[in-house]
Amino acid sequence: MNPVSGAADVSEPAPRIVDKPLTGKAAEPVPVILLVDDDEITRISMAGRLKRLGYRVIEAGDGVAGLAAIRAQRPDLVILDWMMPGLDGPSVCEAVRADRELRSSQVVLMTAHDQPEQIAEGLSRGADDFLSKAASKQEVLARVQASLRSSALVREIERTRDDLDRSHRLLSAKQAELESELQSAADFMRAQLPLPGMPAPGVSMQWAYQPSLALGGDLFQVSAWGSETLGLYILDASGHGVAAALRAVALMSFLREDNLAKAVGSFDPGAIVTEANRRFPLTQDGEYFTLWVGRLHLPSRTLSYAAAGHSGALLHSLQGASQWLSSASLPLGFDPTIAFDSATAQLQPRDRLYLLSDGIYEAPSPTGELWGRDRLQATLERHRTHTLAHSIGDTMTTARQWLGGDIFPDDVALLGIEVLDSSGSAKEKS
Amino acid sequence: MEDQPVMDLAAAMERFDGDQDLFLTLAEMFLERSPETLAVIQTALADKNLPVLAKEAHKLKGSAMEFCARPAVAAAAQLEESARQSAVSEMAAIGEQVHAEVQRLTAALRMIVEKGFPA
Repeated sequence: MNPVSGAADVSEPAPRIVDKPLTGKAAEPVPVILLVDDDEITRISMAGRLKRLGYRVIEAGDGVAGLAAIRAQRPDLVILDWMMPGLDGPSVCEAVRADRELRSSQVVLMTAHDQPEQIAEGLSRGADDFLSKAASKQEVLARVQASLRSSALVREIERTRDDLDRSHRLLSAKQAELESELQSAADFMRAQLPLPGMPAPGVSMQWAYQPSLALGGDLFQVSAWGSETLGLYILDASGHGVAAALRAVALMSFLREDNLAKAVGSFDPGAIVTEANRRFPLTQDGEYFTLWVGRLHLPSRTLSYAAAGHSGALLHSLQGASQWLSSASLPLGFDPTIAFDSATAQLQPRDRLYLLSDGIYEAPSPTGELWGRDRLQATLERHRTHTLAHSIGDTMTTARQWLGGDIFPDDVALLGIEVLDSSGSAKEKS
Repeated sequence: MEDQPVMDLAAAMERFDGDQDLFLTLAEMFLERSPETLAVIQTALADKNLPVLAKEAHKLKGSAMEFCARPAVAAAAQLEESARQSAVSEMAAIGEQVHAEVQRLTAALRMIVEKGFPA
C-alpha cells in the first residue's frame, strides 16, 4: 500500500512539521540528514520519523554508498548504522575524518544497544554522538537538534575561516602592490642622486646613502653651475616615508640649476636659501626642511655657503684644522621674512669637503649614547691617507659598529668631494 | 516470556508520532521478510554458522525494536549474544524461542494489517 523508498534516493521534506525544530527564521533552509543503514525496516522507520520532524532525509543502503553521498551532498548531519556489511559505521567515520574535505562533517552512530565500551570505540573512531535505535521521539529530536547546532557552528567557523583566508590573500596582494610601488619610488629617489666620480674637472666625489625606510627624506646633489662653479647641496625633509620623500623631491626641483636661474636669478647660496625659505613654509603638519647649499668657485677654490638649520658640512683641511661649515639658523619655513647670508671658506688642494645628514652622527649606541660630531670628525680625519671612497665606506662601517646594527633610526647620507692637486687641474684634465 | 505482551503498540505509535501509514509499511515489510529470516536462522543453527546467526539475529532484533516488541527483541538479542560467544549448547533452545516470538509478533502485526488498529 505504501511505496517503499529504495537505497540512496532523495526523499522530499515532510509536508507537515509537527514539532518545532525548524521554526524561527522563515528563510532558513531545511537541514539535510543522510541516513545510512543496510536494514530496510530500521532505515525506513528512522527516515519516516526524521521526516515527520521536518527534516529532509537522504538514504543510503550501505557504508560505501553512504560515503559517496556524504561527498556528493554534504548533508548537515550523517546518521550511521554501526553494523553494516562491507564498510561498517565506525569505518565510515574513520574515512570521513581522514578526508580533508569531509573532516568537519557531523556524524552520529546508531546502535541497538548502548554499551559503554561500544560508545568508547565509536568516539575514538570519529563519531560525534550516539543514537539508540530504541530512542523515543523526544530523544531523537533532542540528539538531532544538538548535532545540527554543532554542525551549523562548524560550518559558520569554516565560512569565517574561508572569508579570512580570502581577506588575507587580498591584503597580501595589496601589500605586495604597495611595496612594489614604494620600491619604484625609492628607485626614483635614488636615480636623483649624483653619479659618483668627477662632477667637474679637478673634483672627485663619493657618497654613501642609507635611508631608514625604503624611502628617505634626505637628498643631496653636486653639479656644475656654469663652467667655473660647482653647486652642491644637502637637504633633509623632516619626517620619513612617502610624504617626506615627495617634499624632498619638490625642494630638489626648486634647486635645479635652470630653475634657480629663473626663480632666484642668482647662484649665491644665501640668496638661494632665502628664496627657498620663502617658498617652502612649514606644512600644516609642522613638517619642514633643513638645507645646506654651497657653491665652489673652481679656479679660486673658494667656497661660499649658506645653511638653514642644517649643520651638516665639514671641511677637512690638509694643512690646518678641520672646520664645521654651519651657522646658527632656523630651518626653512619658520619665518618667511628672514634673509640668509653666505659665508665663505678657502679650500686648498686635496682638501676634502663632506656634506652629511645628522642621521650619521646621531646614531645611538646600544646603550643610547649618540656617536656625535667629534667621533665622526676623528674618524674622517683618521682616513686622511685613504682614498675618498674608502674614507666614506670605512666611516659608514664605524658608524654601524657604534650603532651595533645595520638599520639606522634616521636617514644617513655622507657625501665627500676632494679638490684635486693643481697638477690635475681643470685645463689638463679636460 | 510468553506472559509479556507481544508488543507495546502505544509506545510504537508514539515513536512514529502517530503515523499509522509508516507503521503499516514497516509491518508489511516485516511480514514479508520474517519467513525468510527464520529459515536462514534455522539453517545457520543446523550448520553452526555463528557469523550468519549473529548477523541475522542482530537484524531481527533491530526490526522487532521498531514495533516495541520486547519479547522478540530479547530473544533475538540472546541469540545474537550466544552466537557471538559461541555458546553452542544453549543455541537450539534460544532458536526455538526466537521462532516462537517472531510467530507471535507476525500474528499480531497481521491482525493489525488486516483488521486495522485496535480502537
